[in-house]
Amino acid sequence: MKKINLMTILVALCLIAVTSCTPTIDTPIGTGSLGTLVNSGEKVNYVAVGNSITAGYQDGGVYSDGGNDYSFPNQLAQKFGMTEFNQPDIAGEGLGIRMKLKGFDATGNPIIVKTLLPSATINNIGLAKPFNNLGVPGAVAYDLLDTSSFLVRSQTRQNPYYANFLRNPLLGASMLDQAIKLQPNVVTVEIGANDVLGYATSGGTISTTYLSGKAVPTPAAAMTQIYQGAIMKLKIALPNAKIIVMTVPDVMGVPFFNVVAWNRLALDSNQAKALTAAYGGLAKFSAGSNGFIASDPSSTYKMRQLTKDDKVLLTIPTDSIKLAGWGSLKPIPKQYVLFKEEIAIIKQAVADYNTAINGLTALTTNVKVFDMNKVFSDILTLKTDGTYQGYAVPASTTMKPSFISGEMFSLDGIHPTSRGYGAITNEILKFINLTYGADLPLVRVQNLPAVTIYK
Amino acid sequence: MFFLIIDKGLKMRFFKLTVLSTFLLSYLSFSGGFQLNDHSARSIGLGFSTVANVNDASANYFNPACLGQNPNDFSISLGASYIMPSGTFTGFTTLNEQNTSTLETWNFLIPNFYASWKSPIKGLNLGLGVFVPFGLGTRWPSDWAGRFSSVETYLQNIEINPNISFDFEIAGMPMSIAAGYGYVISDVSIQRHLSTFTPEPVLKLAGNSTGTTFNFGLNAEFVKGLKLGIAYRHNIKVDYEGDVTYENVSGLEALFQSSKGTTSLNYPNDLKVGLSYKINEKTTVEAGINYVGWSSYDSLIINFDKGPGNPASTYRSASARLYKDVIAYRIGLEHLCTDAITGRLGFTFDPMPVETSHVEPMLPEGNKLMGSIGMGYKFNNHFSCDAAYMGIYALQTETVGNPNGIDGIYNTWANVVSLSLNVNF
Repeated sequence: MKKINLMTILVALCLIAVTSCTPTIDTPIGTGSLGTLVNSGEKVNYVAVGNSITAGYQDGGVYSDGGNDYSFPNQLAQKFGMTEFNQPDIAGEGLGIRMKLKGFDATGNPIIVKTLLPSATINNIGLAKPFNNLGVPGAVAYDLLDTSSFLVRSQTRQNPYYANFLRNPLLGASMLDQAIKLQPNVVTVEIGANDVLGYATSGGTISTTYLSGKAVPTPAAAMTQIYQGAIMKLKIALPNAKIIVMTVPDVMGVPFFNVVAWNRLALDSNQAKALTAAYGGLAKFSAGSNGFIASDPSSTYKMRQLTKDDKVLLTIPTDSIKLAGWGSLKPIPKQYVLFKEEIAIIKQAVADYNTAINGLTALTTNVKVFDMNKVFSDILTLKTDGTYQGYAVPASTTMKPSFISGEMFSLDGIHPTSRGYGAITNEILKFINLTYGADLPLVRVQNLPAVTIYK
Repeated sequence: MFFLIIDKGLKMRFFKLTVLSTFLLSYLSFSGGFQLNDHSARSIGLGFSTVANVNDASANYFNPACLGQNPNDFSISLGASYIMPSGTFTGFTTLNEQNTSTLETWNFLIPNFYASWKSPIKGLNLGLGVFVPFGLGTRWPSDWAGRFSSVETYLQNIEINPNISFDFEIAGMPMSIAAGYGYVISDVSIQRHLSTFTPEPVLKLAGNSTGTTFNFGLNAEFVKGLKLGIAYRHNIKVDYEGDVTYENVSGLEALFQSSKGTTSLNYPNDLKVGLSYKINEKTTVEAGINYVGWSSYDSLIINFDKGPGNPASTYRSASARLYKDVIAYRIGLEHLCTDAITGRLGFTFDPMPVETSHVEPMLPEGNKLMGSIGMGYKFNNHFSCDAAYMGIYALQTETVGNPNGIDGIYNTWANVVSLSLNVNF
């Protein structure tokens, strides 16, 4: 008898072994529940207004077929369960600039090919309603409200996106008018970076605003007025819509400002002596790495030597450093460097803009602020061991701000890769889950492309 | 206005690929860790409990001190186990878009060969075993969530193990002691994707090496019918030098250059202790424990001659594995149904030798329950065969807080069939 019992148990175990394979999960997975993001029974009708980040700009421009497919608004729309979410569908290589990585040369330097694409066919240019993604690369905060001609704006600012993305004033005279026309119940507002970035990427030489002939970021007071005006306009037109306003990232940590080091002037002792003598004590050089000499129109001698607090921009033609003696024999032109005073202005502007944005919640309870700045600043945080904190991607490499290898930033050095946009999307989804009691599944970031090789 | 004008001639010296912080190496198998126990059909039928009562040539593996228990003067046994593992992984949240990934079908034929000989010197037995003490592999779909950790992993150790045993009596109590030497031939390969580029480069690491080890055995029959068996196999340290190669690196040849990779694996020591009791003339029960020193696998370090993505410098990848020693429990029942037919039943519980948080897709560990059924058939005095089936079911493992972010649940199971042919003189 005893043996038969044992046999029964064993046969049962064998059966379990063959048949059991249905997983049961204790840890919750996103169910797709929208929580209080929309009223119960409603579907999400989502519209995004903003700049290049909203547009899904990367590698120097906007392109479809793998580019703006990964814009955060498009990825959000998928998680919201929207069946229709219209974005510009751009034929060919894209609009603006397209940079492609062809590979690496024998010494390990990237081979990047750049194509200028001042115009492109927008396949859905005739869509009889505004795009759900109204992100316009280069747009400044005032573009939310500006009703001047899109065509003229494109021409005067040499920016093709106004005319191609906002298209027809009959669809709405301003970016916000077009958004309102779609009667959305969820709106994201992501704007303000270009009010300071134009200043930053031009080495402090170009901006929206000039004081006494000198470029400055858009003043904080003006930004507060613009933001408040925009939110009031949305509140009145869309009293029930949930409005998520995003803070402005402090961009000084992106590769654009950090790939070319301030002290890449390598000299031997003879060269150092000769240069020190030539500059007559205005600058000091020693064997090894030295700070570049840059043009400084505001100083007495119209030049200064860079310190570790200054930055050289990614746009600098490095051949000119090697062949034309930029940074040593002659100063680097101002548009390629940012001095620490200017960096302080940039940081202050970003802080002021974000103070204004955080104040918008007082205007209506429908406004919530998503801290985009924190997403970037966390990634750009330097740890004590000198490496960046980065963005941890489950089951993959932690994304870092380093150029190309870091996976986070595309070839233009400022805008995220598709994988980087996935990370941003996930942070927004987490915010929505937390803020509205939703349970939306996250994007599988590690499956999105980082840097594509074009052979 | 915000346009970026990047000079076409811009060149930078910058590239340093961050390799997935841990470079993992571990293997699916159906004992704990990557140990295999499927070394004879008789033993599988008895749930691997065979350590005190091993009356055939497979004593070479299970306890060479039992070589003298073989009723025949000379035996040769040739066998194989066919292992059919299955497994699924279901990720949480960020990994969940494809929901469940299933291990690709990859079955393994694990051969074994044994010979035992009772020498003319009274009590002195000689034996030889050839078996696969560690091994198996995993192959996940190439687009699965954990591909940056593991796509394909393969490991096989073949051990050639001559043994000598000596039977004697102390105060009328039969005893035997044994010792053996092991020569191990090891093959390892690993394949995974790298994350930075599209299309994704594939890194392959393949190496082989050899190692040596030794083993001891003890057997004693305290009371008529009650035997104690103890068998110890020493850990094996194998130093590998292998080749690192890449696929899908068109345009990236400057970054990913073939190189040498070196690593060491310290295979665990293994102690089996068991008691067998002959209930009556026909029925024997055997039970025991198997202590496996998995703490030897506490970390894994791989040194690359040329770093992946940065061939100008060497690269050292180190990862904590945090395995721990475990004890497995075995019980088996053997019954002589007729003169020719023997029936067998076995049951085993193998706890997983690692914390659930550190379970990795290369080796989807779980606490395993194994039930087996087997039979032996004696054609005549010279020929016999054994057959067995074992069903292995791992309790679901829920991994949370994995150092590589591969959080999810693993379900694994396997079927094993085994056959041994024995020739006796």
